[in-house]
Amino acid sequence: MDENRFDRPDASPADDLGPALRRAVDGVLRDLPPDDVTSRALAAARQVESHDPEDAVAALRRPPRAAWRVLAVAASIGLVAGLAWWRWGGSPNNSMVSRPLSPVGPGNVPSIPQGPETPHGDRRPSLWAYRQAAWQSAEALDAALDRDARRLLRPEPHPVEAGASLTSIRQTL
Amino acid sequence: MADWDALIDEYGPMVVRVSWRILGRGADVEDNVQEVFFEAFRLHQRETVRQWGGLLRRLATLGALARLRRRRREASLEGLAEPACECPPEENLIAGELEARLRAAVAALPGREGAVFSLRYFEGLQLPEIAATLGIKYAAAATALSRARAKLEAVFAETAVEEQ
Repeated sequence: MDENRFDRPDASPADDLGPALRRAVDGVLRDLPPDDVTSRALAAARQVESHDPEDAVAALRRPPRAAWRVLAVAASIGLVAGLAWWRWGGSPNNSMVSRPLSPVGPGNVPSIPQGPETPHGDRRPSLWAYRQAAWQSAEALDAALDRDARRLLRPEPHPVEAGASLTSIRQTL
Repeated sequence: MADWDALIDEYGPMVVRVSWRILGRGADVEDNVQEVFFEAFRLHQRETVRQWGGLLRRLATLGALARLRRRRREASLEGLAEPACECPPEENLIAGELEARLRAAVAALPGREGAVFSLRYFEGLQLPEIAATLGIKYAAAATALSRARAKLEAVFAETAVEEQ
């Protein structure tokens, strides 16, 4: 083959070129890279391993561990909250206070019925009373709650049993 | 996993040299060297590399030629000539002009011809080595080299006529 003449061991690669082309090739071969260029280029090459592109892509696709922890905690809280809502507040039948769908005006405010009286004249706290108070207004509900709280915190007199009183009277007689 | 530092110590200077001879002065050399090792690292993660020298020489040659062509297109778009030397005396100016003209002519060659010419005359490889490095047949390498040399001789024959 024609090109085999370049493959002589003693032949310089540029020997078979024309004079002008050979001069240009020789000029390129003489032009060596300066040491500072070489050292900078090699330093840049060494950084390739520490900036692994596959790791970078994988890291972008994979959420960090901290995110997994946050997700786990959020899921646990959500589960507990969901169970609590289902157990105590989820069903409409179990709701302690129901709000009116339509705005409440002076004409359709139901009157608060009087509950059963205690022997001392106080009304017992009742769900019905609270519900009616809530229907009326938030202030009414607060007032009902405050009133019952004050009554419950007040020390009640011990009830007098009729039987005990008769025994003590007989003993005194 | 290959010892990356050892690979760079062994083949890095060759990659710098190949890039420098094709690209000449400029920051493109450092960029090309880094890109060559970046690409080699990616290949190494996907498959086993048996001949690091051949792989790196091929990547350096093809990458540098691609940059040279890109630079040439940008220079022609901007209408600016590539400076031959930074502060040359007269002889260096002539040599620098020749080198710059050779690089521009190599960049104008089709991809395979430019690569074969660079490996033959800038790296001094034999045709079987060139064929193995580029992953082509010997005959294809020989044909590409013959065409490249003919085209470049034509360019530099015009140069010689102009000088006379």
